[in-house]
Amino acid sequence: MMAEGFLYFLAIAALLVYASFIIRTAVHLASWLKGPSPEKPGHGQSPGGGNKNIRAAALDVIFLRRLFRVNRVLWVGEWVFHVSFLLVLIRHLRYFLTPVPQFVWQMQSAGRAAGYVLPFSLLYIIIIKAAANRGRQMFAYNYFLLAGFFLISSLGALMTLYFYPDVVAVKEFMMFSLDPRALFSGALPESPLAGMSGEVPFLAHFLLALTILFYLPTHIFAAPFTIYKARRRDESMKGNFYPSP
Amino acid sequence: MNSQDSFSFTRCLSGGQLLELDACTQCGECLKYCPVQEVTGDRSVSPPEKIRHFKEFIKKTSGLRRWLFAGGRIDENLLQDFTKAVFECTTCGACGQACTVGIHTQRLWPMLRREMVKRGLGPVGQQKETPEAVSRTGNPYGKPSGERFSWFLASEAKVAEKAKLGYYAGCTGAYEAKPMVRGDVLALSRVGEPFTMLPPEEEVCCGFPLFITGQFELLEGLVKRLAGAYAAKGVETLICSCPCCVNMISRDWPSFYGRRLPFRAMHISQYIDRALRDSRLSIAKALDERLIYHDPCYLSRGLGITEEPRDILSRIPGAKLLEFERNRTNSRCCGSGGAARKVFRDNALAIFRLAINEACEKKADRLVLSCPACYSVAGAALEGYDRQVDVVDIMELLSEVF
Repeated sequence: MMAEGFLYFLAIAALLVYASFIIRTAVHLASWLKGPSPEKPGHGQSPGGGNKNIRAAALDVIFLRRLFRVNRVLWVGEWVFHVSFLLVLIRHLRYFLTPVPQFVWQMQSAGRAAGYVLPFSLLYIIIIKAAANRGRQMFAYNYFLLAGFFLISSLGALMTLYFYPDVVAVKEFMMFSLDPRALFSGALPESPLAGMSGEVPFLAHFLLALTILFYLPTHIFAAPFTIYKARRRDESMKGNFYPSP
Repeated sequence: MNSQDSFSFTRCLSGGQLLELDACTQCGECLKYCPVQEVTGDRSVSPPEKIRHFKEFIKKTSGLRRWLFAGGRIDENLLQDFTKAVFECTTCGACGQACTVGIHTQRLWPMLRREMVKRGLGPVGQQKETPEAVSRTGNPYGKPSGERFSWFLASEAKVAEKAKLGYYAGCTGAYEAKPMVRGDVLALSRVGEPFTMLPPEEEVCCGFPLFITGQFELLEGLVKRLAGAYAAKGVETLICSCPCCVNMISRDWPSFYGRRLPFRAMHISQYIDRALRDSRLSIAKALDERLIYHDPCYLSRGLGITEEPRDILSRIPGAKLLEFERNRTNSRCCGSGGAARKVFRDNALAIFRLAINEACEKKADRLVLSCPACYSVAGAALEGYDRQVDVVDIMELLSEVF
């Protein structure tokens, strides 16, 4: 009974975190779409757009080129982290989608390899940041995120290597936590998590992931747009101040 | 204004700027470039801290938290500390240049200042006197318009009544960096293209000191007055010695003017470089000196003009051009930007002394500037300092070698 109660608690907590994530994102999105300030002066002239800028900004995002420009040592770790994190996320889609798309199956090996790389990349970033300027660069929130991701990814790697969870039970639980109707009807998954060999690491992994999702930084969505804006600004500078005679 | 607006911290920010606040990753890469933090060691002035605090203010007053928990009061001390931090900033934009997600901080900080002004918390110190000084005398220094530039124009330059080319001396140049303005006028005269200027009593502040301190009330009047006066003189290109003026005119005047300007603004180095390239101007004398050029923030990061001054200097026979470790769009602030020079004077002096130190270490004979604000702080920073280097404006230098 205790395991069932805990399972319900976990599924409801997950649902609340998903909901808060969606609401938070929607609220931020609404603020970004607010448009110019009601006091129109002071925001300068809008630089031009263009496909060239979109392509360049996409490369800026994919290769973290702005970071490359200012800190190449850190860039190595950050780029490896972002790529491996993306691969791991894709690998995890198999727990959330039914049927699982073909590309997710095709990415399983790469995702598995990325899962081993991920904690090392995070450890590298933490060391580099802690070493730079005697720790002056580290902000508590940044440290919290890095430490959180490090623990999640380390547990993930351990589950791949040593503590094998019952993937069927995990998938059933994930689908259950995503379905409010099933959740409130009280229909528990047929393969309960309790009793599986990797239960504790999985629960820790999942709870940490929920915590990080709750505190997920808004920059994940906002940064690509500001990078695009910066690219447009850089490109338009010459157009603004070197007008054709 | 409804009650909710009067409470919100997002009044002065565009949607794009709210996006920028959300985009900050708190990575701290910008900290290495913040000149104020470099000399004060004060973490509260750092860009990520300012953004973090401002986001907290927004969350407490207009975010989900306010909706769910009927808002929260913000600690007055925290607001005052934040106000000091945001006004202590030199708005040099070095943090934005180093920003890994491209936040346009040189534009964001003035808008955060504006919000603090609306709340009655800013500006700070002498900045509060700027609107009154501009209203009374037309310049932020409160000095008589008669002292503006009449002292050299009659004898050294011929100013046309009307011309396609206009010259705007700017307040800091005219009152605090007079050799710069004299150099500009001599260089313009040497090119030979007729140029016009407004009479000293009509050439008022461009509005930058008001804009940068968040005090917008007089701006529309100033902009309309100046833009109308230059349009009446038939000006199509307006040359300025001050990079802040060029930024203000190019980027912000159109919104205060209400439509596209009838002329374009240009920095003096752009115009003179073009004149040298077109052989309308030539350099006759050699100069056997080691010169080191300091990129002003609003010229390099604000306008992207970094090569024209170097091109001018490299054309002087015999001159050897040195570079600061941090140069071009990565240059270090002189310390006087953002109207912080007079309020946070110790910071400004300490920041400029870093440039003096480096110029001395590189054995430069002269430190070359191209901004009146830099020029003004240079004199103060050299006073009583144990390391000395000659400071010269680029046009002042050029006027020596015609």
